[in-house]
Amino acid sequence: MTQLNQTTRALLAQVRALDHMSSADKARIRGGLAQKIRMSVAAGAAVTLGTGVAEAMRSSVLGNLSLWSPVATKVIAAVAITTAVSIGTVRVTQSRHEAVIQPHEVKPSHGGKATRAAAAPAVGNIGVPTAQPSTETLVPVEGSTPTPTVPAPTKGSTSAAKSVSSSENEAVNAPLNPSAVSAPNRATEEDRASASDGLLAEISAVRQARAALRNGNAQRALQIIDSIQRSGTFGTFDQESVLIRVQAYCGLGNRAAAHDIASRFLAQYPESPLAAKMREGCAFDHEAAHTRTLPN
Amino acid sequence: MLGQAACDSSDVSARPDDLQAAAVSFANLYDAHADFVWRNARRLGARPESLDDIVQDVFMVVHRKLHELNSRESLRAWLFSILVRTIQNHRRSLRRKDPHVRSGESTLDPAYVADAPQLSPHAMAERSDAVRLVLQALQDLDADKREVFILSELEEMSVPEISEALSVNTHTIQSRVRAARKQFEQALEKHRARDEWRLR
Repeated sequence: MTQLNQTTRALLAQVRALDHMSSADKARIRGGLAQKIRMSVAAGAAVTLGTGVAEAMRSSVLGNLSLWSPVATKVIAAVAITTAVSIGTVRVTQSRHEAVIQPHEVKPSHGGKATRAAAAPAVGNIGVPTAQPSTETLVPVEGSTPTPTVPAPTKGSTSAAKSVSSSENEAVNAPLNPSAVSAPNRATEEDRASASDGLLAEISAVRQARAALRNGNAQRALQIIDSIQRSGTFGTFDQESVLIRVQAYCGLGNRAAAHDIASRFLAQYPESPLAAKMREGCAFDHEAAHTRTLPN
Repeated sequence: MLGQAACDSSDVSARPDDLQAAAVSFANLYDAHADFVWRNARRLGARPESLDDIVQDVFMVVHRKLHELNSRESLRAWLFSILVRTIQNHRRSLRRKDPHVRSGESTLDPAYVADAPQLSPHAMAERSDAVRLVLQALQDLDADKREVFILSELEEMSVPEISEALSVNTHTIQSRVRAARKQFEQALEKHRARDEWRLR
């Protein structure tokens, strides 16, 4: 084995003889060590206390954090990520919804009338969802429909019908041209997706309203139409919704309202494929009868 | 606890079975081996400001694991293995706090040389120079060679004992000792030359 030279060996021997811990260092370190051991023993005793204390600590949030810090860290991280994703989803949903509503609010309505958003009737507290409309969230509200005690239609009943309900007028005054309210201006993927969602909601609402009418529940049909119009989702089936509204008023016996709405619809869209159906309803029964009874 | 038991600090055998037979307390073990841990911590490159913590941490591990000590094991070898791991942990901790801390960097302060009030100032200076020179040369060695050199040349441990302390086979220890001696001589020569140049 290679040997160290003599000078080096002498140096190492000197260091071996002289390089030692001072008594002051030894005492100081001993004091610190005793303190650390006491703390360690105390901590160990605290950890190994009765199971009741340990269980109590585990059951508390603080205990969980202190005893299971690695697990707690992971759980907190998972919750944080989930929350962040949820917030992001809500934001995206909101932005999609705004993308649909925004053109309605900005674009002037047909014939200089109130915009669709403004046309939302301020009657009752119908639970209109802020995001995707759902019929499950609809709740019946008194006052949103005219009472059946409206006088029987006469020649002068048009003006009376106008004052039946502001919601009716606003609903009728709302733009009926689908192109005015649907079709988002920006052809981005997000807008297209939201438009598709809105269309699906609209189809669903019209189907449910029709089903309600078939089942003789005109009130429910009106609520569905009111709700979906208030959400700003209507566009493609605007004319259809007006027809359902007229039929619903007919079902409720409110011919005056039905007549008023149908008249304005026919004035606005005389060539509409739904015009014939508008005339077939109760809204013009009295006129037909009146025409029939007119003396020659 | 420690101070109370330290009152009867008798000589401690290096063998754990002897320790058990003599019912030597942990405090006695500290008194007998604190110096071994302290000086080798310096030689392994522990920073002066970390020395106290390192020695305490080593004995904390000893306190916790004394019952695990194998009766055939050398106490010094066991202590040295704990010391090496403790210093590594401290360096990692320091690097986390300050990424610019260099591994094995040691501030060589002559004040850390053991107190000996009976020595003359000249002898003190001479001793400080000798210790400083050896510590500087040790820091130039590779980590594995430094450990082997300290145990072999400064602690004068046998090859089997070093092998036990470092968990390395005896052949490797022998080859490392040879390489370490050569490297240490070169490092020493370099530092002496530098000192001579400074004193010119």
